[in-house]
Amino acid sequence: MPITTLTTIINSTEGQVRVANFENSAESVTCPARTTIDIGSKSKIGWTIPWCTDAASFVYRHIRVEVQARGAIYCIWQADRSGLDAIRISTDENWHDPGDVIAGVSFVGNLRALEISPSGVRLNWEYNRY
Amino acid sequence: METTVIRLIDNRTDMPISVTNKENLKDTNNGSRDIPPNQGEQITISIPWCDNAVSFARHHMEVTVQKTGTTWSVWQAEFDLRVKVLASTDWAWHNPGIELYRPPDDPPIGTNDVLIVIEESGKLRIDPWGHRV
Repeated sequence: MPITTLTTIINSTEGQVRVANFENSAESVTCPARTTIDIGSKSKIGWTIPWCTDAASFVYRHIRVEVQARGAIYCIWQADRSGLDAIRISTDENWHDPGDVIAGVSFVGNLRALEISPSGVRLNWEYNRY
Repeated sequence: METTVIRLIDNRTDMPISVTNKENLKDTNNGSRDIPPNQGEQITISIPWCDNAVSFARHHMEVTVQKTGTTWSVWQAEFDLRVKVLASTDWAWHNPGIELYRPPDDPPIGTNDVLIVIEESGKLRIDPWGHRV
Protein backbone atom coordinates (compact mmCIF):
# COMPACT_ATOMS: atom_id res chain seq x y z
CA MET A 1 0.00 0.00 0.00
CA PRO A 2 1.64 3.26 -1.06
CA ILE A 3 2.10 5.77 1.74
CA THR A 4 0.94 9.32 1.16
CA THR A 5 2.43 11.91 3.47
CA LEU A 6 1.26 15.43 4.27
CA THR A 7 4.18 17.76 4.81
CA THR A 8 2.62 21.21 4.57
CA ILE A 9 -0.65 22.93 5.44
CA ILE A 10 -1.48 26.00 3.34
CA ASN A 11 -4.29 28.10 4.77
CA SER A 12 -5.32 30.83 2.35
CA THR A 13 -8.63 31.54 4.08
CA GLU A 14 -9.38 34.54 6.32
CA GLY A 15 -9.88 32.39 9.40
CA GLN A 16 -7.91 29.80 11.29
CA VAL A 17 -7.84 26.15 10.29
CA ARG A 18 -7.38 23.23 12.66
CA VAL A 19 -6.02 20.00 11.29
CA ALA A 20 -5.79 16.81 13.35
CA ASN A 21 -4.74 13.28 12.51
CA PHE A 22 -7.12 11.00 14.43
CA GLU A 23 -4.76 8.09 13.87
CA ASN A 24 -2.01 9.82 15.84
CA SER A 25 -3.04 12.14 18.66
CA ALA A 26 0.35 13.85 18.62
CA GLU A 27 -0.35 15.18 15.14
CA SER A 28 -2.51 18.25 15.48
CA VAL A 29 -1.96 21.82 14.39
CA THR A 30 -3.79 25.15 14.31
CA CYS A 31 -2.97 27.20 11.26
CA PRO A 32 -3.75 30.95 11.52
CA ALA A 33 -5.37 32.83 8.66
CA ARG A 34 -3.24 33.17 5.52
CA THR A 35 -0.40 31.05 6.84
CA THR A 36 1.62 28.09 5.62
CA ILE A 37 2.89 25.58 8.18
CA ASP A 38 5.52 22.90 7.67
CA ILE A 39 4.32 19.92 9.72
CA GLY A 40 7.45 17.88 9.16
CA SER A 41 10.28 17.56 11.63
CA LYS A 42 13.86 16.31 11.67
CA SER A 43 12.70 12.85 12.69
CA LYS A 44 9.54 12.62 10.58
CA ILE A 45 8.88 14.23 7.26
CA GLY A 46 5.14 14.67 7.86
CA TRP A 47 1.86 12.95 8.64
CA THR A 48 0.80 9.73 6.96
CA ILE A 49 -2.73 9.96 5.60
CA PRO A 50 -4.64 7.13 7.34
CA TRP A 51 -5.99 4.16 5.44
CA CYS A 52 -9.64 3.47 6.10
CA THR A 53 -11.75 0.83 4.39
CA ASP A 54 -14.72 0.57 6.73
CA ALA A 55 -17.07 2.77 8.70
CA ALA A 56 -16.28 1.10 12.03
CA SER A 57 -12.64 2.23 12.13
CA PHE A 58 -13.28 5.64 10.61
CA VAL A 59 -13.43 7.38 13.98
CA TYR A 60 -9.68 6.90 14.46
CA ARG A 61 -8.56 6.64 10.84
CA HIS A 62 -8.90 9.98 9.15
CA ILE A 63 -7.55 13.50 9.15
CA ARG A 64 -10.04 16.14 10.25
CA VAL A 65 -9.90 19.69 8.89
CA GLU A 66 -11.97 22.41 10.55
CA VAL A 67 -12.22 25.57 8.49
CA GLN A 68 -13.38 28.47 10.65
CA ALA A 69 -14.07 30.87 7.78
CA ARG A 70 -16.45 28.42 6.10
CA GLY A 71 -17.80 26.76 9.22
CA ALA A 72 -16.94 23.52 7.45
CA ILE A 73 -15.41 20.21 8.47
CA TYR A 74 -13.63 17.92 6.02
CA CYS A 75 -12.50 14.36 6.71
CA ILE A 76 -9.67 12.93 4.62
CA TRP A 77 -8.52 9.32 4.28
CA GLN A 78 -6.93 6.96 1.81
CA ALA A 79 -8.70 3.91 0.33
CA ASP A 80 -8.52 1.56 -2.62
CA ARG A 81 -12.18 1.25 -3.55
CA SER A 82 -13.97 0.51 -6.80
CA GLY A 83 -10.64 -0.04 -8.53
CA LEU A 84 -9.26 3.37 -7.62
CA ASP A 85 -6.58 3.85 -4.98
CA ALA A 86 -7.00 7.48 -3.99
CA ILE A 87 -7.20 10.09 -1.26
CA ARG A 88 -10.86 10.62 -0.41
CA ILE A 89 -12.86 13.30 1.33
CA SER A 90 -16.22 13.79 3.02
CA THR A 91 -17.97 16.85 4.41
CA ASP A 92 -20.45 15.11 6.73
CA GLU A 93 -17.87 13.58 9.12
CA ASN A 94 -18.74 10.09 7.87
CA TRP A 95 -16.89 7.41 5.92
CA HIS A 96 -18.27 6.68 2.48
CA ASP A 97 -17.77 3.81 0.09
CA PRO A 98 -16.07 4.54 -2.25
CA GLY A 99 -15.99 8.19 -1.09
CA ASP A 100 -15.41 11.28 -3.17
CA VAL A 101 -11.92 11.72 -4.56
CA ILE A 102 -10.25 14.84 -3.17
CA ALA A 103 -9.53 17.71 -5.54
CA GLY A 104 -5.97 18.08 -6.81
CA VAL A 105 -3.32 15.37 -6.76
CA SER A 106 -5.51 12.58 -5.42
CA PHE A 107 -3.53 9.48 -6.38
CA VAL A 108 -1.61 7.78 -3.59
CA GLY A 109 2.08 7.82 -2.70
CA ASN A 110 4.75 10.47 -2.15
CA LEU A 111 4.37 13.85 -0.47
CA ARG A 112 1.53 16.34 -0.52
CA ALA A 113 0.65 19.84 0.64
CA LEU A 114 -2.89 20.30 1.92
CA GLU A 115 -4.28 23.59 0.64
CA ILE A 116 -7.34 25.13 2.26
CA SER A 117 -8.73 28.03 0.24
CA PRO A 118 -12.01 29.93 0.28
CA SER A 119 -13.24 27.59 -2.46
CA GLY A 120 -12.44 24.33 -0.67
CA VAL A 121 -9.71 21.79 0.04
CA ARG A 122 -7.21 20.26 -2.35
CA LEU A 123 -3.92 18.35 -2.38
CA ASN A 124 -0.89 19.70 -4.18
CA TRP A 125 2.20 17.81 -5.24
CA GLU A 126 5.01 18.45 -2.77
CA TYR A 127 8.60 18.38 -3.92
CA ASN A 128 10.91 16.55 -1.53
CA ARG A 129 13.75 19.04 -1.12
CA TYR A 130 15.66 16.96 1.41
CA MET B 1 20.53 17.19 -25.13
CA GLU B 2 19.02 17.02 -21.68
CA THR B 3 15.65 15.35 -21.36
CA THR B 4 12.93 17.01 -19.32
CA VAL B 5 10.21 14.58 -18.37
CA ILE B 6 6.76 15.68 -17.24
CA ARG B 7 5.49 13.32 -14.52
CA LEU B 8 2.27 15.02 -13.59
CA ILE B 9 -0.20 17.51 -14.96
CA ASP B 10 -2.19 19.36 -12.31
CA ASN B 11 -5.33 20.92 -13.71
CA ARG B 12 -6.43 23.57 -11.20
CA THR B 13 -9.09 25.04 -13.42
CA ASP B 14 -12.75 24.19 -13.02
CA MET B 15 -13.00 22.80 -16.55
CA PRO B 16 -11.26 19.89 -18.33
CA ILE B 17 -8.01 20.27 -20.20
CA SER B 18 -6.60 18.06 -22.96
CA VAL B 19 -2.98 17.17 -23.64
CA THR B 20 -1.42 15.94 -26.89
CA ASN B 21 2.20 15.07 -27.49
CA LYS B 22 2.66 15.68 -31.20
CA GLU B 23 6.08 14.03 -31.09
CA ASN B 24 4.82 10.81 -29.58
CA LEU B 25 1.07 10.33 -29.59
CA LYS B 26 1.43 7.13 -27.56
CA ASP B 27 2.16 9.33 -24.53
CA THR B 28 -1.36 10.73 -24.72
CA ASN B 29 -3.67 7.82 -25.56
CA ASN B 30 -2.63 7.84 -29.25
CA GLY B 31 -4.30 11.23 -29.55
CA SER B 32 -5.25 13.51 -26.75
CA ARG B 33 -5.68 12.80 -23.08
CA ASP B 34 -8.27 14.66 -21.07
CA ILE B 35 -7.69 15.64 -17.46
CA PRO B 36 -10.82 16.45 -15.43
CA PRO B 37 -11.38 19.73 -13.59
CA ASN B 38 -9.44 20.16 -10.33
CA GLN B 39 -7.50 16.93 -10.74
CA GLY B 40 -3.82 16.15 -11.05
CA GLU B 41 -2.92 13.03 -13.02
CA GLN B 42 0.28 11.12 -13.58
CA ILE B 43 1.64 11.17 -17.10
CA THR B 44 5.01 10.59 -18.75
CA ILE B 45 5.99 12.95 -21.55
CA SER B 46 9.48 13.94 -22.61
CA ILE B 47 9.09 17.56 -23.60
CA PRO B 48 9.96 17.70 -27.32
CA TRP B 49 13.03 19.62 -28.39
CA CYS B 50 12.46 22.13 -31.15
CA ASP B 51 14.90 24.75 -32.40
CA ASN B 52 13.31 25.72 -35.70
CA ALA B 53 9.96 26.46 -37.29
CA VAL B 54 10.28 23.73 -39.94
CA SER B 55 10.20 20.83 -37.50
CA PHE B 56 7.72 22.45 -35.13
CA ALA B 57 4.68 20.59 -36.47
CA ARG B 58 5.99 17.28 -35.10
CA HIS B 59 8.14 18.51 -32.26
CA HIS B 60 5.94 20.06 -29.63
CA MET B 61 3.15 19.16 -27.24
CA GLU B 62 -0.15 20.92 -26.79
CA VAL B 63 -2.20 21.74 -23.72
CA THR B 64 -5.70 22.97 -24.48
CA VAL B 65 -7.31 24.83 -21.59
CA GLN B 66 -11.05 24.73 -22.07
CA LYS B 67 -11.69 27.47 -19.50
CA THR B 68 -9.84 30.09 -21.52
CA GLY B 69 -10.13 28.50 -24.97
CA THR B 70 -6.34 28.66 -25.26
CA THR B 71 -4.06 26.02 -26.74
CA TRP B 72 -0.52 26.19 -25.41
CA SER B 73 2.17 24.71 -27.65
CA VAL B 74 5.10 23.65 -25.47
CA TRP B 75 8.67 22.66 -26.38
CA GLN B 76 12.15 22.96 -24.98
CA ALA B 77 15.15 24.65 -26.50
CA GLU B 78 18.44 26.20 -25.55
CA PHE B 79 18.35 29.96 -25.39
CA ASP B 80 20.94 32.29 -23.84
CA LEU B 81 23.03 29.18 -23.09
CA ARG B 82 20.28 27.76 -20.87
CA VAL B 83 17.75 25.03 -21.51
CA LYS B 84 14.26 26.47 -21.22
CA VAL B 85 10.72 25.20 -21.51
CA LEU B 86 9.02 27.53 -23.95
CA ALA B 87 5.50 28.02 -25.18
CA SER B 88 3.29 29.87 -27.60
CA THR B 89 -0.44 30.33 -27.89
CA ASP B 90 -0.72 30.83 -31.66
CA TRP B 91 0.26 27.32 -32.85
CA ALA B 92 3.59 28.65 -34.08
CA TRP B 93 7.25 28.28 -33.10
CA HIS B 94 8.94 31.40 -31.82
CA ASN B 95 12.45 32.32 -30.92
CA PRO B 96 12.46 32.29 -27.97
CA GLY B 97 8.72 31.97 -27.23
CA ILE B 98 7.16 32.44 -23.80
CA GLU B 99 9.28 30.95 -21.05
CA LEU B 100 7.01 29.05 -18.67
CA TYR B 101 7.23 30.43 -15.15
CA ARG B 102 9.12 28.36 -12.62
CA PRO B 103 10.25 29.27 -9.11
CA PRO B 104 13.73 30.84 -9.22
CA ASP B 105 15.32 28.44 -6.73
CA ASP B 106 14.17 25.32 -8.59
CA PRO B 107 16.73 22.97 -10.14
CA PRO B 108 17.72 23.87 -13.72
CA ILE B 109 15.59 22.50 -16.54
CA GLY B 110 17.10 19.28 -17.84
CA THR B 111 18.37 18.10 -14.45
CA ASN B 112 15.07 17.14 -12.86
CA ASP B 113 11.68 15.84 -13.82
CA VAL B 114 8.84 18.33 -13.63
CA LEU B 115 5.14 18.78 -13.35
CA ILE B 116 3.03 21.25 -15.22
CA VAL B 117 0.45 23.20 -13.26
CA ILE B 118 -2.47 24.80 -15.06
CA GLU B 119 -3.38 27.57 -12.67
CA GLU B 120 -6.96 28.63 -11.98
CA SER B 121 -6.46 31.49 -14.42
CA GLY B 122 -5.51 29.04 -17.19
CA LYS B 123 -1.82 29.97 -17.23
CA LEU B 124 0.84 27.26 -17.26
CA ARG B 125 3.77 26.98 -14.91
CA ILE B 126 6.43 24.40 -14.13
CA ASP B 127 7.14 22.92 -10.71
CA PRO B 128 9.81 20.39 -9.76
CA TRP B 129 8.77 16.75 -9.47
CA GLY B 130 11.72 15.59 -7.40
CA HIS B 131 15.23 14.30 -7.69
CA ARG B 132 15.98 11.77 -10.36
CA VAL B 133 16.77 8.33 -9.02
